[in-house]
Amino acid sequence: MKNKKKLGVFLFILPAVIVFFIYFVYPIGFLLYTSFMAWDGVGSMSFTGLSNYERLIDDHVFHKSLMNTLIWGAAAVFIHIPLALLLAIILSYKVPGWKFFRTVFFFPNLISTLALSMMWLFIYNGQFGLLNAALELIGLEGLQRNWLGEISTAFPALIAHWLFYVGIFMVIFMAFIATIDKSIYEAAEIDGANIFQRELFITLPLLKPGIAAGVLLAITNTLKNFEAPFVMTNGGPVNETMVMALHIYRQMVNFNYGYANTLAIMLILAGGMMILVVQLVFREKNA
Amino acid sequence: MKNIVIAGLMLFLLLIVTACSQGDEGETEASQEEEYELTFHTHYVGNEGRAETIQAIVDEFNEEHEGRARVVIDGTPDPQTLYDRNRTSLATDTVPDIFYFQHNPVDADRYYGSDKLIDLTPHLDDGWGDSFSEEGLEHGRYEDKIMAVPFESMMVPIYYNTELFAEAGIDEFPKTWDDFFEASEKLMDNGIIPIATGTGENAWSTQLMYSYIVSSIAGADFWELDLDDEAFLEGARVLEKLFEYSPSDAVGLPYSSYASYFVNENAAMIVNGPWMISQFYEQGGDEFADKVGAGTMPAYDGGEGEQGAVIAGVNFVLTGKQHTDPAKEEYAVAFMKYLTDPDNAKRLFLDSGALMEAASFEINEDDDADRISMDILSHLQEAPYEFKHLINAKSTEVANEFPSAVSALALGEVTPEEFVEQLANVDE
Repeated sequence: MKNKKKLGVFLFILPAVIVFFIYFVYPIGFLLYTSFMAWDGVGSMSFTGLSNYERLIDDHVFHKSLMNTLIWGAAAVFIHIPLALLLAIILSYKVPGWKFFRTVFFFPNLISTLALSMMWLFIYNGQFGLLNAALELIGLEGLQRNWLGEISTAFPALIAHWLFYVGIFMVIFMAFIATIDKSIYEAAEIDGANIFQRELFITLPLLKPGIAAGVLLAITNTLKNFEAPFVMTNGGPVNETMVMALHIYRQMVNFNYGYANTLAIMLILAGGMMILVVQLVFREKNA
Repeated sequence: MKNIVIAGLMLFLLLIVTACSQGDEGETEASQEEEYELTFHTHYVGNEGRAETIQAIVDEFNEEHEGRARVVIDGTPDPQTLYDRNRTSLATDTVPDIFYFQHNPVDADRYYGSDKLIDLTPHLDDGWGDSFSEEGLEHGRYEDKIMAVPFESMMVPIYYNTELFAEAGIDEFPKTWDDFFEASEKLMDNGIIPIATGTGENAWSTQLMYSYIVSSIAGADFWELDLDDEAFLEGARVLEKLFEYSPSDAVGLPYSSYASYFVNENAAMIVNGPWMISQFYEQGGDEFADKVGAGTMPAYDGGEGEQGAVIAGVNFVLTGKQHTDPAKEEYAVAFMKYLTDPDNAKRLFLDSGALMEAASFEINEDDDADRISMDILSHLQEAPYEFKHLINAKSTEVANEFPSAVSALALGEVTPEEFVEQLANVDE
């Protein structure tokens, strides 16, 4: 009877395991295998040992793209998520018009990244862009510039366009906050805790699993960033806005599939490490 | 019981393997009663100047082959994305039934040697091959086979706004680069951007200008030189200077934006192909198109190039996917033949100014040929020599490196020496 049950469980999970192997394990294995090859994607592969990995050392575009990806990830953790959290806490007080603001903040998440990127491309336009027009309107002509064309502003401008689209995480956090027992707040209020103390010592600790999930999701999203850099800057100027996904794509369309797959392995490793760090940080604080 | 489970598992795995092995061949082996569907990858869609005529040609073919074959346009409006799609299709074995690609010798060998394209050699014997020049057909040659036919040619003039020139006191299009920069100064004094260019996307117009500049320095065969040769270095110095006369937001500026500078008369010159003529009429109207002149390469003081030389030659070559079903392959070839038919090439020229590579059509006096197109043709006929631009002459690696390298040059992040070195490093 016990064996029969085990067999049933095994058969139930078997399709999922097979799909997992076909769509995850096999592609990762293929990436790893081809990362040791010289391959143009068309002809046969030839084993080149660690040469693709050695190439990473001198590839300054890889260094730049890795650094940018990490910075974007850090911006997600330290700006994007806290902003979402702040809005979630404020709206959870059901301030007047909270439903309207919730919809407004969430709405950009329903629009494709491509469309948003196109819109921001025009906002940042050096000659006719809305941002420069707004600066002129308030007498700050001196700050006008080609936002996506200058080295000093291109990457911050690229990140900034995305930073405030926090709707999805805001909604997740609001759902978490709604599950917190109201009597805890009431007890704290009776004990004389003010609004900031209640949020700091009740909401945030109880929201920790939600924040951890949000941080993980935000980081994995930033690792996959492709559309916005592709549409808005194509990695320029001078690779200043290059991110890992775009660098991989560039190598791929240059028929350097072996090296592109090496970069993909590095992206997976970088992602794994970032996720590990996040888990360690949250585990440590939970202890 | 155990045996039943094992048998069940084996059956399940067999079903998955069978399902996964159903590749595209399953799709191509249509029965004779079914209509074959052929995909045609193109960027001639939407507002593109050639889109309407191409759609009409496809519709006519479909009507003629109704019930047997139907060509479906799979459009990608952005040319660069189309080229990327085509390249990746080779690796992913999803080559379209009919497509064209921007010819360069390195990419061409990859396409032709992939064993995934139709061998067009036997199909050229029935007279189709006579539609093309021998030189044009060489672009599709791989070993002893013809794997692609020349599809679209180009002649790239430097368009200029005659009214803006006149207002700045410039009588004619500059014959030397010194005259060019002198004219540029006059235009700037009049509040006009001299040359509309940008480094966004593939830095299209900028790479054309660089090709023009280096050819004026080193002559017709400059692509035989190494990319860090003194001629390219000198060309980089001139290109660096050119950015002083370009839009202030030229770095990262995409084609559509800098083209707008010209069409909106904020800029006086732009270098681009004849396909832009339809844009002059559609966006600027007849009044604007009447002001547009077509100039050619200025000479470089002490250079080996001759004034009037032009960037020209085969730009796109047309090919298609190799099929196991000969009937489907026949229809794909039939469409290629129809598309490159001299009458259709002429239609495309008259409708959009595009120079299709079918050598045997003539323009008569009663044809409604546009004035700018005819000017371009006359420049082509009078040109002392023709040469290719960077994207057609060099590998994809060089073409993809160019926008980054030229942005750095424009921003003063690298010297001309470092610029040429950056390109030479990725040159195969």
